[in-house]
Amino acid sequence: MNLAVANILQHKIRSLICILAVCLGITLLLILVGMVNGSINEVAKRIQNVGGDMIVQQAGATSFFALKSGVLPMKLLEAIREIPRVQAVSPVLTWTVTFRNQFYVVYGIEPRQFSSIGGELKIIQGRHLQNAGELVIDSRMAAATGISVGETIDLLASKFTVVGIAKEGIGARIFLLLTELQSLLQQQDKVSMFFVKSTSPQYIKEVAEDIEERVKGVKCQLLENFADEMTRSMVGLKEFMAAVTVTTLAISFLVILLAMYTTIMERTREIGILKSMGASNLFVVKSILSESTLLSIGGVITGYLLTFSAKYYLNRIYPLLTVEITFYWVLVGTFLGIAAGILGAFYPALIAARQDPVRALNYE
Amino acid sequence: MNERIITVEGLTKDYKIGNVVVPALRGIDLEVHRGEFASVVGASGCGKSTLLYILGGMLRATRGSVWIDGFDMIGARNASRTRFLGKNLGFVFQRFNLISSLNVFDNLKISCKIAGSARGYEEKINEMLRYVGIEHKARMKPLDLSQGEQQRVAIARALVKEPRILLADEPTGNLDSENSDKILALFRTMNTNLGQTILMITHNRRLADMTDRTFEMKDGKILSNGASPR
Repeated sequence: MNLAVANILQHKIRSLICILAVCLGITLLLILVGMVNGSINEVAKRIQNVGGDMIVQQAGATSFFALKSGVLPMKLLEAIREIPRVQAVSPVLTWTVTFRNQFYVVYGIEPRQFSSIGGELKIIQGRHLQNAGELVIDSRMAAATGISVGETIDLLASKFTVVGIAKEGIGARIFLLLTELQSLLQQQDKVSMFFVKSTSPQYIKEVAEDIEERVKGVKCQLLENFADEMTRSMVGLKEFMAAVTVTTLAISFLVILLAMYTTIMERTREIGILKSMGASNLFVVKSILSESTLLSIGGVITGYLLTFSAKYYLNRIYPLLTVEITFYWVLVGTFLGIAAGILGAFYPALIAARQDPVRALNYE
Repeated sequence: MNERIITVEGLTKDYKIGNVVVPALRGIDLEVHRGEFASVVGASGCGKSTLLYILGGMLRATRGSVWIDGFDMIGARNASRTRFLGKNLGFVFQRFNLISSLNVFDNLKISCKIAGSARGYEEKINEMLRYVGIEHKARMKPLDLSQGEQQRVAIARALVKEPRILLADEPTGNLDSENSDKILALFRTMNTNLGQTILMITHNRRLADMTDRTFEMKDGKILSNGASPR
């Protein structure tokens, strides 16, 4: 058996603590990053699935339009429609509500116009919106809350009957008629944005430029790279990701450093023995680093197991939460876990290599 | 038989403890011939182990020269001395110094690996374990063996890489007289059958008398240079 493997098996508790440290670091990284990316991408995907080519927003607005409600006048609808190569326009008023301790975005839509841009809600139970006092929820909300067609719920200080359940993945989780939401929010003739579809993909940029030129006070946000735009507009997100990454590296590094340093002290005689057999400094360093690399690999593997288990249970406990673990972050996690193990063991390995063999042999 | 394999001339070693210089070796001259089973005998603290560690390249001398089979142990660079030690010298210690996390077989395997002779090692290791009579305990951990058996493993580990010289530091110091005699008999067999050169350090005059040649040491000096008691 290899010396590194033998030592790992010989010091089971120490090995377990090292593996656990790397494992927790990896899990922390992947789950936190997965939750952030998952939430952003899920929202972005839903907006892209509405079907338009772009969103017309108030100039200077961020991609988080749900945080601002009726900021554009409804009359812009006609102005946008008249722009050449615009095929369809759908005004949407957004609002946020808290329902059963969960945060939801509500879309006020005009069903016919909403369908015209391609994002037709696929009703899988019940029917589409027709009258005031009705709303449609998506299947994920229905699964999370247990609400079914025909139930009445309190929202925005009014009673609504759920008339349909739509397939998840388009726009928001709650839909009601645009005019009704405008009335409830006292924002008559106001909308948050317009979804716009051009006559052909080749005209998207041209249409966007035309709108910005002809309609004052608006900007066009192309939906093609909406997720990236959302990420960019989140102040501090990059810093948060960096902080999580550094924390992961630091936890793994410090635990491995401490464990390997302690083990080098414990194994002073063993290092003396190796040197008395003619082991070079490189041999000793390699032996220590192989051990820490194996521990790190163990930590990375268990980290993935824990991450995917945590993802499974988080989805069960919080059905509306999306944890997205991408191949890129799996690679980052693997690299960080192993790098932390090697870096953490490097100093102890150098100490081991520099030990005086005679002193080491006589170490009690 | 008269070809010199170890040549030591004017070897001194001073230890510095604070501002005090303590001489451990005071001008040692010594020669051991190829195929010889020699011993250095003396009381504890006379400098025997210091001499052995310098011969083995594990300790730096203050002055003098040490040649092992034509290799300059004092003048050589650290890396080449370490390589030479790994390939050509085998150590056996009083405390056995086996690696407790490895089983008997793997303790020998790591010695082959360090010496760079890992290829085809399996047969060689089994043969060596048979030779020292513990082939049936190859998969056991050192701490599960008796002290006599542990020393046999240590000897097998030192010899499996076929070193030019076996250096033994009080190899029977932790053994009872019966096991001591068995180990000495094993050394003798290896010396006779394999032509193995052995230099043994001991404080036990009776054991020293069982070797081909004995160097008597006192206060860091060789008193009698190679009397042959046999």
